Amino acid sequence: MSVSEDGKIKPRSWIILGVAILLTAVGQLFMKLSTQYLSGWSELWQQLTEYSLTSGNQTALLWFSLGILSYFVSMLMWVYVLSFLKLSKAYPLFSIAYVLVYVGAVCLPQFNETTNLQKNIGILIIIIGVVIVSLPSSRERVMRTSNK
Amino acid sequence: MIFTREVFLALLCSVAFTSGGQLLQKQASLKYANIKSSSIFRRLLSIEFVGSTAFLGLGLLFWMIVLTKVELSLAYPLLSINYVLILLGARYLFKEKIPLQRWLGVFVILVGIGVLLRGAI
Repeated sequence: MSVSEDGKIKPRSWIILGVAILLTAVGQLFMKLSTQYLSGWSELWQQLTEYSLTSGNQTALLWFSLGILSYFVSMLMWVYVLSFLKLSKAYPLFSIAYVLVYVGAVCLPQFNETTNLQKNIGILIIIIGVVIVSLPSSRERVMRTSNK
Repeated sequence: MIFTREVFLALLCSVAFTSGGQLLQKQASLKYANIKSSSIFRRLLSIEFVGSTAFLGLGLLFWMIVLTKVELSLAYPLLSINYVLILLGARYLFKEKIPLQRWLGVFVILVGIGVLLRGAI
Protein backbone atom coordinates (compact mmCIF):
# COMPACT_ATOMS: atom_id res chain seq x y z
CA MET A 1 0.00 0.00 0.00
CA SER A 2 2.78 2.36 0.92
CA VAL A 3 5.12 1.02 -1.74
CA SER A 4 4.35 2.04 -5.31
CA GLU A 5 4.41 -0.39 -8.23
CA ASP A 6 8.02 0.23 -9.24
CA GLY A 7 9.09 -0.73 -5.72
CA LYS A 8 9.89 2.82 -4.61
CA ILE A 9 8.76 3.91 -1.19
CA LYS A 10 6.07 6.56 -1.23
CA PRO A 11 6.81 9.95 0.32
CA ARG A 12 4.05 9.28 2.87
CA SER A 13 6.10 6.42 4.35
CA TRP A 14 9.11 8.67 4.75
CA ILE A 15 6.93 11.26 6.49
CA ILE A 16 5.68 8.61 8.94
CA LEU A 17 9.26 7.50 9.60
CA GLY A 18 10.30 11.13 10.09
CA VAL A 19 7.50 11.78 12.57
CA ALA A 20 8.37 8.55 14.45
CA ILE A 21 11.99 9.71 14.82
CA LEU A 22 10.88 13.23 15.78
CA LEU A 23 8.49 11.89 18.45
CA THR A 24 11.26 9.71 19.92
CA ALA A 25 13.41 12.80 20.39
CA VAL A 26 10.54 14.97 21.63
CA GLY A 27 9.60 12.24 24.14
CA GLN A 28 13.12 12.32 25.62
CA LEU A 29 13.06 16.12 25.84
CA PHE A 30 9.65 16.01 27.60
CA MET A 31 10.93 13.42 30.09
CA LYS A 32 14.01 15.52 30.84
CA LEU A 33 11.80 18.60 31.23
CA SER A 34 9.63 16.72 33.73
CA THR A 35 12.63 15.99 35.97
CA GLN A 36 13.36 19.71 36.16
CA TYR A 37 10.02 20.30 37.91
CA LEU A 38 10.31 17.26 40.16
CA SER A 39 11.06 18.12 43.79
CA GLY A 40 12.28 14.64 44.70
CA TRP A 41 11.33 10.99 44.30
CA SER A 42 10.41 10.31 47.94
CA GLU A 43 8.42 13.55 48.11
CA LEU A 44 6.58 12.67 44.91
CA TRP A 45 5.76 9.21 46.23
CA GLN A 46 4.48 10.62 49.52
CA GLN A 47 2.36 13.23 47.74
CA LEU A 48 0.93 10.56 45.43
CA THR A 49 -0.16 8.40 48.35
CA GLU A 50 -1.78 11.42 50.02
CA TYR A 51 -3.44 12.61 46.78
CA SER A 52 -2.00 16.09 47.27
CA LEU A 53 0.53 17.09 44.63
CA THR A 54 2.37 20.39 44.71
CA SER A 55 2.07 22.40 41.48
CA GLY A 56 5.70 21.66 40.61
CA ASN A 57 5.17 17.92 40.82
CA GLN A 58 1.89 18.25 38.89
CA THR A 59 3.82 19.94 36.07
CA ALA A 60 6.45 17.21 36.30
CA LEU A 61 3.82 14.48 35.95
CA LEU A 62 2.20 16.33 33.02
CA TRP A 63 5.47 16.50 31.05
CA PHE A 64 6.26 12.92 32.02
CA SER A 65 2.88 11.73 30.69
CA LEU A 66 3.43 13.66 27.44
CA GLY A 67 6.89 12.09 27.21
CA ILE A 68 5.51 8.57 27.66
CA LEU A 69 2.75 9.31 25.15
CA SER A 70 5.26 10.51 22.51
CA TYR A 71 7.43 7.49 23.22
CA PHE A 72 4.50 5.09 22.89
CA VAL A 73 3.11 6.68 19.71
CA SER A 74 6.58 6.73 18.15
CA MET A 75 6.96 3.03 18.95
CA LEU A 76 3.61 2.22 17.28
CA MET A 77 4.56 4.28 14.21
CA TRP A 78 7.94 2.57 14.15
CA VAL A 79 6.34 -0.90 14.11
CA TYR A 80 3.99 0.31 11.36
CA VAL A 81 6.91 1.65 9.31
CA LEU A 82 8.79 -1.64 9.69
CA SER A 83 5.83 -3.53 8.24
CA PHE A 84 6.73 -2.18 4.78
CA LEU A 85 10.22 -0.69 5.12
CA LYS A 86 13.30 -2.90 5.52
CA LEU A 87 14.87 -2.69 8.97
CA SER A 88 18.28 -2.10 7.39
CA LYS A 89 16.87 0.89 5.54
CA ALA A 90 14.97 2.43 8.44
CA TYR A 91 17.35 1.69 11.32
CA PRO A 92 20.37 3.81 10.27
CA LEU A 93 18.02 6.79 9.97
CA PHE A 94 17.17 6.33 13.62
CA SER A 95 20.56 7.87 14.47
CA ILE A 96 18.90 11.20 13.56
CA ALA A 97 17.15 10.90 16.96
CA TYR A 98 20.56 11.29 18.62
CA VAL A 99 21.18 14.51 16.69
CA LEU A 100 17.72 15.90 17.49
CA VAL A 101 17.96 15.14 21.23
CA TYR A 102 21.45 16.64 21.43
CA VAL A 103 20.62 19.79 19.47
CA GLY A 104 17.37 20.21 21.44
CA ALA A 105 19.07 19.85 24.81
CA VAL A 106 21.87 22.26 23.90
CA CYS A 107 19.89 24.88 21.98
CA LEU A 108 16.50 25.10 23.73
CA PRO A 109 16.52 27.66 26.56
CA GLN A 110 14.51 25.32 28.84
CA PHE A 111 17.48 22.96 29.00
CA ASN A 112 20.41 25.24 28.17
CA GLU A 113 22.91 22.40 28.53
CA THR A 114 26.63 22.91 28.14
CA THR A 115 28.60 21.73 25.15
CA ASN A 116 32.23 21.59 24.14
CA LEU A 117 34.26 20.35 21.20
CA GLN A 118 35.14 17.00 22.77
CA LYS A 119 31.48 16.28 23.62
CA ASN A 120 30.48 17.12 20.03
CA ILE A 121 33.18 14.84 18.61
CA GLY A 122 32.17 12.00 20.98
CA ILE A 123 28.54 12.21 19.88
CA LEU A 124 29.54 12.36 16.22
CA ILE A 125 31.62 9.16 16.66
CA ILE A 126 28.70 7.43 18.44
CA ILE A 127 26.33 8.35 15.57
CA ILE A 128 28.83 6.98 13.02
CA GLY A 129 29.01 3.76 15.09
CA VAL A 130 25.21 3.47 15.22
CA VAL A 131 25.03 3.85 11.42
CA ILE A 132 27.75 1.18 10.93
CA VAL A 133 25.92 -1.22 13.27
CA SER A 134 22.56 -0.77 11.57
CA LEU A 135 23.61 -0.74 7.90
CA PRO A 136 23.19 -4.09 6.12
CA SER A 137 26.41 -6.11 5.98
CA SER A 138 27.96 -7.05 2.64
CA ARG A 139 26.74 -10.65 3.05
CA GLU A 140 23.15 -9.49 3.56
CA ARG A 141 23.38 -7.27 0.48
CA VAL A 142 24.55 -10.24 -1.61
CA MET A 143 21.67 -12.36 -0.25
CA ARG A 144 19.12 -9.70 -1.13
CA THR A 145 20.33 -9.32 -4.72
CA SER A 146 20.30 -13.08 -5.27
CA ASN A 147 16.73 -13.25 -3.95
CA LYS A 148 15.46 -10.88 -6.63
CA MET B 1 25.85 17.05 37.24
CA ILE B 2 28.75 14.80 38.28
CA PHE B 3 28.60 11.07 37.63
CA THR B 4 28.33 9.63 41.13
CA ARG B 5 28.43 5.89 41.71
CA GLU B 6 24.63 5.87 42.25
CA VAL B 7 23.97 7.62 38.94
CA PHE B 8 26.33 5.28 37.12
CA LEU B 9 24.60 2.28 38.70
CA ALA B 10 21.17 3.64 37.69
CA LEU B 11 22.39 4.09 34.11
CA LEU B 12 23.73 0.53 34.02
CA CYS B 13 20.42 -0.82 35.39
CA SER B 14 18.46 1.23 32.84
CA VAL B 15 20.50 -0.07 29.91
CA ALA B 16 20.59 -3.66 31.23
CA PHE B 17 16.80 -3.83 31.78
CA THR B 18 16.04 -2.16 28.42
CA SER B 19 18.26 -4.52 26.40
CA GLY B 20 17.09 -7.47 28.53
CA GLY B 21 13.51 -6.52 27.64
CA GLN B 22 14.37 -6.36 23.94
CA LEU B 23 16.07 -9.78 24.08
CA LEU B 24 12.95 -11.18 25.78
CA GLN B 25 10.83 -9.70 22.98
CA LYS B 26 13.00 -11.61 20.52
CA GLN B 27 12.54 -14.77 22.59
CA ALA B 28 8.76 -14.19 22.57
CA SER B 29 8.68 -13.74 18.79
CA LEU B 30 10.67 -16.97 18.32
CA LYS B 31 8.15 -18.77 20.50
CA TYR B 32 5.17 -17.39 18.53
CA ALA B 33 6.79 -18.48 15.28
CA ASN B 34 6.77 -22.08 16.54
CA ILE B 35 3.25 -22.11 17.99
CA LYS B 36 0.94 -21.00 15.21
CA SER B 37 -2.30 -21.91 16.93
CA SER B 38 -1.98 -19.79 20.08
CA SER B 39 -4.49 -16.97 20.51
CA ILE B 40 -3.49 -13.33 20.91
CA PHE B 41 -4.43 -13.44 24.61
CA ARG B 42 -2.26 -16.45 25.22
CA ARG B 43 0.61 -14.65 23.47
CA LEU B 44 0.16 -11.47 25.52
CA LEU B 45 0.12 -13.52 28.71
CA SER B 46 3.24 -15.53 27.87
CA ILE B 47 6.05 -15.26 30.41
CA GLU B 48 8.38 -13.81 27.76
CA PHE B 49 6.01 -11.01 26.77
CA VAL B 50 5.02 -10.08 30.34
CA GLY B 51 8.69 -10.27 31.33
CA SER B 52 9.82 -8.06 28.46
CA THR B 53 7.21 -5.42 29.31
CA ALA B 54 8.23 -5.48 32.98
CA PHE B 55 11.91 -5.17 32.04
CA LEU B 56 11.22 -2.23 29.72
CA GLY B 57 9.19 -0.55 32.48
CA LEU B 58 12.04 -0.98 34.97
CA GLY B 59 14.48 0.33 32.37
CA LEU B 60 12.31 3.45 32.00
CA LEU B 61 12.15 3.93 35.79
CA PHE B 62 15.95 3.82 36.13
CA TRP B 63 16.20 6.11 33.10
CA MET B 64 14.08 8.74 34.89
CA ILE B 65 16.41 8.48 37.90
CA VAL B 66 19.37 9.09 35.58
CA LEU B 67 17.62 12.09 33.98
CA THR B 68 17.10 13.77 37.36
CA LYS B 69 20.88 13.86 37.81
CA VAL B 70 22.51 14.04 34.37
CA GLU B 71 22.22 16.41 31.41
CA LEU B 72 20.17 14.91 28.58
CA SER B 73 22.87 15.79 26.03
CA LEU B 74 25.23 13.53 27.97
CA ALA B 75 22.82 10.79 29.10
CA TYR B 76 21.00 10.10 25.84
CA PRO B 77 24.08 9.22 23.75
CA LEU B 78 25.11 6.82 26.54
CA LEU B 79 21.97 4.80 25.78
CA SER B 80 23.88 3.52 22.74
CA ILE B 81 25.49 1.01 25.16
CA ASN B 82 22.24 -0.82 24.29
CA TYR B 83 23.68 -1.71 20.89
CA VAL B 84 26.68 -3.36 22.56
CA LEU B 85 24.54 -5.43 24.96
CA ILE B 86 22.06 -6.46 22.24
CA LEU B 87 24.90 -7.60 19.99
CA LEU B 88 26.43 -9.67 22.83
CA GLY B 89 22.98 -11.14 23.58
CA ALA B 90 22.41 -11.98 19.91
CA ARG B 91 25.79 -13.70 19.76
CA TYR B 92 25.83 -15.62 23.05
CA LEU B 93 22.14 -16.16 23.90
CA PHE B 94 20.66 -16.58 20.41
CA LYS B 95 23.86 -17.95 18.83
CA GLU B 96 23.48 -15.62 15.86
CA LYS B 97 26.35 -15.21 13.45
CA ILE B 98 27.48 -11.58 13.74
CA PRO B 99 29.15 -9.97 10.71
CA LEU B 100 32.47 -8.26 11.42
CA GLN B 101 30.89 -4.96 10.39
CA ARG B 102 28.60 -4.97 13.47
CA TRP B 103 31.49 -5.62 15.87
CA LEU B 104 33.29 -2.72 14.20
CA GLY B 105 30.22 -0.48 14.65
CA VAL B 106 29.96 -1.41 18.33
CA PHE B 107 33.67 -0.70 18.77
CA VAL B 108 33.20 2.75 17.19
CA ILE B 109 30.25 3.39 19.57
CA LEU B 110 32.43 2.50 22.57
CA VAL B 111 35.20 4.83 21.36
CA GLY B 112 32.61 7.61 20.98
CA ILE B 113 31.31 7.00 24.51
CA GLY B 114 34.88 7.21 25.83
CA VAL B 115 35.49 10.52 24.06
CA LEU B 116 32.10 11.90 25.19
CA LEU B 117 32.68 10.98 28.84
CA ARG B 118 36.18 12.49 28.83
CA GLY B 119 34.77 15.68 27.33
CA ALA B 120 31.86 15.89 29.75
CA ILE B 121 33.45 15.07 33.10
